[in-house]
Amino acid sequence: MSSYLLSIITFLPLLFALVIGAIPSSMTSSLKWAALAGLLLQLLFTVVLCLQFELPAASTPYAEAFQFVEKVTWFELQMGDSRGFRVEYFMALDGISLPLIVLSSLMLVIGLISSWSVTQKLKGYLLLYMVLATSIVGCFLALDFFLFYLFFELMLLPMFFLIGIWGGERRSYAAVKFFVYTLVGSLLILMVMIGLYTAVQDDSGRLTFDILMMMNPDQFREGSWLTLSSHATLWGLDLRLLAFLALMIGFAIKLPSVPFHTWLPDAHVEAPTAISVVLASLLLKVGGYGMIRIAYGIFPDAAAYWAYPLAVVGVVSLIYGSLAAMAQNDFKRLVAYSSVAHMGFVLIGLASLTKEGMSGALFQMVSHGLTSGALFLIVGVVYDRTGNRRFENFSGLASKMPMYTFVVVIIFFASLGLPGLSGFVGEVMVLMGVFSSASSDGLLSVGIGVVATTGILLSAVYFLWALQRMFFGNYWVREREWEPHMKDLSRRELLALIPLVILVIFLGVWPRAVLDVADVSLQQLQMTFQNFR
Amino acid sequence: MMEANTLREVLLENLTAFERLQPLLIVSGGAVLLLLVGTFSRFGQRYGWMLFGAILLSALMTVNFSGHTLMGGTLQLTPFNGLIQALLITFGLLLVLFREVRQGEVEYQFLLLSVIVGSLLMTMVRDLVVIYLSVELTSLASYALTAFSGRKKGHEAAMKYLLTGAISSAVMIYGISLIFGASGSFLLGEIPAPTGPGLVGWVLLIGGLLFKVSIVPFHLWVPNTYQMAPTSVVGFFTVVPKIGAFVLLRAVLHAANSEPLNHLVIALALITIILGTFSAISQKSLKRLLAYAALAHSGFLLPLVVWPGQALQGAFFFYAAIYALMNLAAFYFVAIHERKGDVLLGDLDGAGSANPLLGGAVVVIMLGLIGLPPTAGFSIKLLLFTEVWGQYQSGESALLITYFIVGVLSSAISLYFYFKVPYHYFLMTNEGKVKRLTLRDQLITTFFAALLLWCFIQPQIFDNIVVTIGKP
Repeated sequence: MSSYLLSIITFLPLLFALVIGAIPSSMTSSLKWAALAGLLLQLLFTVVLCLQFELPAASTPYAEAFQFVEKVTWFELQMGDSRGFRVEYFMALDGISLPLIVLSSLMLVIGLISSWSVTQKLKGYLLLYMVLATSIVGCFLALDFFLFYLFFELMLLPMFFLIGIWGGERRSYAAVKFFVYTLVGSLLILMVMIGLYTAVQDDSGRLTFDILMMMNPDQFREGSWLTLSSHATLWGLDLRLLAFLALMIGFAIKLPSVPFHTWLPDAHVEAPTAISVVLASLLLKVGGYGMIRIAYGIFPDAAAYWAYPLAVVGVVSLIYGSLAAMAQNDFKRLVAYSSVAHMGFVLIGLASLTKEGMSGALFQMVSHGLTSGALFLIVGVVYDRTGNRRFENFSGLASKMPMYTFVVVIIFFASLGLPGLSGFVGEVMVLMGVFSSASSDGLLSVGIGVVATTGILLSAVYFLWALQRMFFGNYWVREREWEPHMKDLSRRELLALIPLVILVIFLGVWPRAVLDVADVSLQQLQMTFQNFR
Repeated sequence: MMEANTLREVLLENLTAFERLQPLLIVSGGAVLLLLVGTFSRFGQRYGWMLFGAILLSALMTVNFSGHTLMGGTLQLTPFNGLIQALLITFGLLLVLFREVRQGEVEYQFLLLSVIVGSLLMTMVRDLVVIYLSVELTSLASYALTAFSGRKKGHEAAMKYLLTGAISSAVMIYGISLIFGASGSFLLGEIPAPTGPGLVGWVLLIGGLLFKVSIVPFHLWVPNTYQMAPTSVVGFFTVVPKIGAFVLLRAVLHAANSEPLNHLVIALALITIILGTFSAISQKSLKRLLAYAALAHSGFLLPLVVWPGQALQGAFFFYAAIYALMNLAAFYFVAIHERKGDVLLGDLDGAGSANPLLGGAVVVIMLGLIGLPPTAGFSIKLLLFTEVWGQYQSGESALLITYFIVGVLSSAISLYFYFKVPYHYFLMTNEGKVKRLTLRDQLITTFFAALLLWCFIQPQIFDNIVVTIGKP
């Protein structure tokens, strides 16, 4: 099936960026509407995509489950007779990427709605936002490693400026830290990309960046060092194990997972609300997606080898993130650390190498995309009104802002994993994966599952405590001049929050909406691990 | 090559050689003409830059892309040399964009042309004595150019440059005499590959060349010279004599054909990258920052001239062309700011809001220098590291994998200092004095930046050039 739907979805924001560029910067409302039109159109095409998506038959091989394939040669560089480059424009979609695409188009619109109040240098803001939109969506769709890397790197630049120009007080520090950290991660990925490129060839014997071919052990060149059978070593470790590790560190920086998470609280705290939303709900997901698609897909052997250490890192992220969240006085910092904790589940689920675990990880990503986005919007509500977001300055908001409190309660409970809301599903499936992995062949131990379960408990502690401190009790705010601003949610805020509340409930009740879509691809992916367990 | 016996045959052979050496003759003859015209007429003094351009343009038209051995093996023309020569001349031609060059005295333009002559010679010479000659020609003119800013500090920098340069040419000539003593020949093609103690002469010769391409430990002249010389000259130094010397180094290394020597050179390249990158971090002056960064870039270019084989010629050309483009753009950017009195990074505070176009361009240029997509700077780094990885894979060497890892990761540090420019441009604010730059300057810089993007998206053009010229 050939169509240009994926290209349209990816490059529509970039096209609208050109439109925005042509509008004079004084016409602020036209600028905003043009941006919104672009992103709504993207969302519309994503809906068309969902309607046209066909669930693959149960035993469809991984590589054949891709739909809407677009594959043309982008450029070939021979440079005399050196090995040169051949890069393909290769975009396709399967059940793993579809939920993330839907999440992206939705969250990008919501992010834009919440940036409606931006006034300073609006044009530049919107331009960067549109570039960001293209690069995020491109990341989830590219199947050529070069193309993926291009989108992956392209994300950093607009983010750097969006945090650095429109951020809070320590914005420049946070922006530089974000950029340097994530660049180190992508450079690690780049190294593996180069190694893989020189190792993998297509059927006609030419080197290729095609990720699907990299997943097929038969496509590796005889005698190259990253083949399954080569056992070339560096510093006493099998090169394949090292390459996997480099990829995982690269993506773990993005995810982020302890000990590479320190850029996240700074970036989140300094970023403007909308950018925090996009950062938490989409950029972090690129890390998880990269793990599933690239690291686990290409190196199943290494994934099995490192399973236990990775699960431990995941558990540490979970516990550490929760404990750190508990200690925060700043609402936004709390949400940022809760992201670290929730992403720990993704790592644990993947490490279990079971279908339950991987589905759980994917579901957790989608669910966290919705809840963390909503959480940052919630923080933005208080911050917009008062310029402050410390817990000790507020109390009993429920009596003054009932709607707001209602939304907060739902999102908090979704985040802490109350059954019936979306957060529960992912976490339980991850735990199921861990226990089944422990009971079947002991890849992971029961202890991991037990500790992870306490992690859920901890998240209940900090969310409920935050709820109690800020929303219940007698109404009180620290500054007299905040009083007139403490009104309930505005229409724009409701517009941004209500879809998220609905989706969080919907996915909690009917998780199959995501799980069934990804089922076949994850099943096939999981089978590749069987030989190495 | 025919064996020349009679005087007539020798003359005839050299006459045909002259025909093939037209670019070299045009530039050197033109340089003298320019000096004469400028000395004897005020008109010439004023419009000398047009003659300068015309000379280089006509030299560019006559570049020879076929393969020949001339002057009894002293000079070697190959399609690759032709490409590099065309690149160097084109870069020289683009110097007229700098106001300093247009308004400068003819002596200034004369010296630029002299460096170009030396560099052109370096790309094709295969005789040890003429190698020395070409390096000296380039160096002497460079010393004078460094002092041309007229500032006292400029003289100091020129003096430092001269002294270190004199030492390195002494080292080089000592190396040449050792090689000649051992082999009895000056021609690279006739000298047998060295073994054991015979390597000493080669190490010294290569040391002299490493001075020209600013590789540690022969880099000491770089920061001061780059900071004090006129900006157009610095941009010129980082490209024309450097690339010429790289091509010469390539010929010498291939003639030496010695594994330990190659490893030594790559180790030095590695140290250069580390040193250049780390020294750039703490710089406050824009030019000095770019000077250290150019040092690191030498370390990146070096491996491409080390490994033998035709294969890397195309890669080297691609790298050199993009590198030249990036440096031209970066130093043009520095030059237009310098005219407004912005020398330190702090002077750029908030300039982005007044000059958004230029700001966008400088982001692209800096991305290119770091080696990030979507710029051609990424393509060349990718090409380089793929080659390094390939070499590592074919002959397990701890040095190469270290180079690979350190080289790739150094980008993260170079991000930190290169991005200080956009950082000051956009992230810092400056109440009051916001400087507007002329639209012309902004457009030229933006054009270079757009070219960098375009070369990333459509790099086939280089492929086409290499293929077309490779097959005469």
